[in-house]
Amino acid sequence: MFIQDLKNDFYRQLISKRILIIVNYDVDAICASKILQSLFKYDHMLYTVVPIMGVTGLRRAYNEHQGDVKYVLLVNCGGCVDIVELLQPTEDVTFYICDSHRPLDVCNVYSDRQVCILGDPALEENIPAFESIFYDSDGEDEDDDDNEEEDEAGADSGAGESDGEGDGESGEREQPARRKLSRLERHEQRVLRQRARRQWELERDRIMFDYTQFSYYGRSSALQIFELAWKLSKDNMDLLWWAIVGISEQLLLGKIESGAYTLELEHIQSHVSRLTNKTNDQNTMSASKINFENDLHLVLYRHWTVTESMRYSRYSACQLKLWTLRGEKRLHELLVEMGLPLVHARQTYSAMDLVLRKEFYTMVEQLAEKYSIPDIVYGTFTLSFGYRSRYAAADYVYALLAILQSIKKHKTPEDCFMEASDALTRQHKQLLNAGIDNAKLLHAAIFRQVQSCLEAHQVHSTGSFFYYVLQEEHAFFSYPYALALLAKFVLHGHVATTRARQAPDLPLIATCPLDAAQGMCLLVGIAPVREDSPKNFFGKAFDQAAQKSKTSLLQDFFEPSIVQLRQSDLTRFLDALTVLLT
Amino acid sequence: MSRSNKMFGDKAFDLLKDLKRSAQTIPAFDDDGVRQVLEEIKAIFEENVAQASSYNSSGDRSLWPLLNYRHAALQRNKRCLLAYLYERMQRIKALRWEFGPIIPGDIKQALCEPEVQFFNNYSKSLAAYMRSVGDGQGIDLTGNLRPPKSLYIEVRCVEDYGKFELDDGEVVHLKKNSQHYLPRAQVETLVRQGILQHIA
Amino acid sequence: MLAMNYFPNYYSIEDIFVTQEKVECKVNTRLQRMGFLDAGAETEHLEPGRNINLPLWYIKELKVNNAYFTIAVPDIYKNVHKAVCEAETTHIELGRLHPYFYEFGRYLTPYDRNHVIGRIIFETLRQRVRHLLDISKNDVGSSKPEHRLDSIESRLHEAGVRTNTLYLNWLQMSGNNIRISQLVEEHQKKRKRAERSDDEGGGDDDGSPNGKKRSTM
Repeated sequence: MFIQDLKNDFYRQLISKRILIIVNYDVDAICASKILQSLFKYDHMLYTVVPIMGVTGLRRAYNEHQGDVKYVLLVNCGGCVDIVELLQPTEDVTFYICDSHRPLDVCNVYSDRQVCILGDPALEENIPAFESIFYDSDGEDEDDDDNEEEDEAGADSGAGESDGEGDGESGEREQPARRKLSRLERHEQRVLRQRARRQWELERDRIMFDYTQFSYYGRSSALQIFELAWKLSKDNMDLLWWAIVGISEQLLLGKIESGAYTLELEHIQSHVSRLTNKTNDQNTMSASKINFENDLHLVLYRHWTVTESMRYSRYSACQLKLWTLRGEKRLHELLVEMGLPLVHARQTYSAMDLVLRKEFYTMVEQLAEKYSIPDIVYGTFTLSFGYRSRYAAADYVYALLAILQSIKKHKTPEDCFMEASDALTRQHKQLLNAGIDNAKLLHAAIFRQVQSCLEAHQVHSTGSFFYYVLQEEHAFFSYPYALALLAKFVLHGHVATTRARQAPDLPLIATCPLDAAQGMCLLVGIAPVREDSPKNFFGKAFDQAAQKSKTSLLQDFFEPSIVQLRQSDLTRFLDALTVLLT
Repeated sequence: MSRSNKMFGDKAFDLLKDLKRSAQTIPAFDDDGVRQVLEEIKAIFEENVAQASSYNSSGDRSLWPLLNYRHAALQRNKRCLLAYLYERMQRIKALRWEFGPIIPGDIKQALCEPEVQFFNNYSKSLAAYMRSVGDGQGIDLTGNLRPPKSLYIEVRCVEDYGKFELDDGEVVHLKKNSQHYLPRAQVETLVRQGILQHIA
Repeated sequence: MLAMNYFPNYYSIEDIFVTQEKVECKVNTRLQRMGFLDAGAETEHLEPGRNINLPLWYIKELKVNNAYFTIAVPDIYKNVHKAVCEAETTHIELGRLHPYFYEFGRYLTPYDRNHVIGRIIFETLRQRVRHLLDISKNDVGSSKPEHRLDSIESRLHEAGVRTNTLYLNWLQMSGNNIRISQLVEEHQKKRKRAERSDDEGGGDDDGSPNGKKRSTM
């Protein structure tokens, strides 16, 4: 069931109880969990935070903590799977789900008491009505059973008529309320009812198929938890900043449309102005401030050089085709028109001339139309604290992603999770800076890979989609986020360079080997360029293709467009997918 | 006799070198070394006794420097040996304060039998003293001695520990890399032992 | 733990190390049956005029102006004397000259006819203290000072670094976490190092769980 009044129905229920928080492995979830942790600290509620990566992780984490906790909070996980059936909890355990993945599983939505979803049902789309999917079968079954019994009795009595008649009559007399129908009529009625039932089932299947066909994302959970904090009057700048990072991640990874993002921006701006006026040390230069400004979609440009940032950002690189020589020339033209000397453009942004820095944004905005990069401007927030630090929300997002992907031999995913969680606090600035450096390496590596891929024409088309296969394990691309970023870049780059007319309409499947020893590889599906909405059908498509080609697919992650399968099954799977998508 | 007794005191000094090299930890008790030094002492002593008695009888002062030297060497050996034992004793006392009443197995192997007994007795005395402080209520002096700033602390689990029961009956499953928010007083010992890590 | 006093007592290991040092002496009189002290001698007795190296713990038992040996002051003190006079003591690498410069000098002062050593060691320490204070405040744990400092100086330096760290922690209000006890930490590190070298020894275990994300979470 849905809970709208977070303060009373959710938070107040949890005071002085012990809570288990299970967090998914993405930036939005980390931000939401940090906000939750600070809220719980105010009221001294004991909690335990466990990071997980997929469905198996969820099951394992729950099993370990099973007997000890009665309240489980799932952040960005578990909304799309039937929790009660998956985890088999005891009666007194309550689950609270704060998940931005959609579509939500209907069992979770219509559960009475055990599963509570934090959110507003009015905002959800297309949830099927209860009657249309859950069959209220009690009454009908009884009728059927009774009729069958009567029929049975009748059929038996076929042998001995007198007894049968007697039984039939007595059966009829037992249920005086029933109309006296002849056997034929009863039979007809039963057939009709069965037909109606089958039709109802077909309709239900169709509704369910429509409902679960596309997977998309709802509101950011970090933002939702921030609103809870706001209603409890416990919000402050830090929590607001984490909520901003959460929603920026959704925008940057393409999970929500820019329209939805702009709507949320207005709400956030009101929060910002409210909180900024509340603090009374506004005149202190080193207080932390959040400012709204129009910013550029250039990756980490404040911490990098201008040329590199332009080259490694997907939007600018694809529009200007910066992996070719002509593209480079065009970039130089752009810089010249902006009045930015090449020497300065090649220096770190913070070492550029102050005048140039101030004018950078306005110049780019003016020239954006001419160089066909109009969408490079978008609204976002920046955080400044101290005398030196100024970070845009996007910087945080990329740094955290890089930290989450920095899994090494002696650094487990949980370590990376904890490090990302620490990097959000302002005291651990060096963690954030290390993350930014890693992010720079990541983007540079993506660009090089894209360049080599496009020059070698490694993107193949099957007529209904593109696919791009990486041959060997890569330090960066064996992980979902990096692979998704790479695939998106490749798709946009390919569409920009190719002359095929239907290129903008085709999606891309990218694979990369995960683990050479076990022969698994990671598969990512990216929506076509022309489609603006982030609804994608990959989850269902992968599932059906796997069934058709009888390959075992590991759909473990909560993102349905990222799956794992065996390297040897790859070709069969792609064939089945081709057939499916034509 | 002349060339074989080079410098006395070398073996004893080796014991000490070994001890100094291993800084804070306790190296294995060098049973052989100690025994050799004791034998050397005995040998020197007996020689000296023999010559001193001859000096007494003959009044011949010519061997006086030799006697003196041997006496100095005897004192030297004694000093080295005593310092060795003393330093080990100090380190064992520190063990009780840092590790608690149970010594880890690999450290225990390095101790000799009397040292283990010393540890147990010291532990008992310390426990008796700690119990008697504060009108019979007792206080754990081996814990954290800084005044606390909050009732609850946020900790991260560094090693697998298993189930841990709090005072009010709640059971916490401490698995590596999970983060918890728990009452300070009850988890302090775990932080000191290195199973949990306190986060700011 | 907290006892910082350096006081050479009977049990002090430092002192035992210092007194183990060898001093060069000249034999004055004929010493019966002490030929074993001289490594290169052939005779059973020590002949006057030979130079031998004797350990300090023997020498200090004898009277200062005894008839048997004449103590020669090592050259290092003469060199330092020159440096002191020219006031460039901060650059001398005392650690390399002699690890126990000051204590050794202290023991040798009674034997010095010219009464120079006492003044030298005092002056040297006085001039180097300022430099010591400097480097202990700007810590960043560089281990280079180990060659340049002798043992007393390096202990002072360590104490300075420790105090400095405590002070900075107090300023930043960050040092209030419950710390793991030091011995336990070292014990754990040793164990981890042993485990890690075991891991590298048995190489085939490395590729699996910890390296890839699927199995751990």
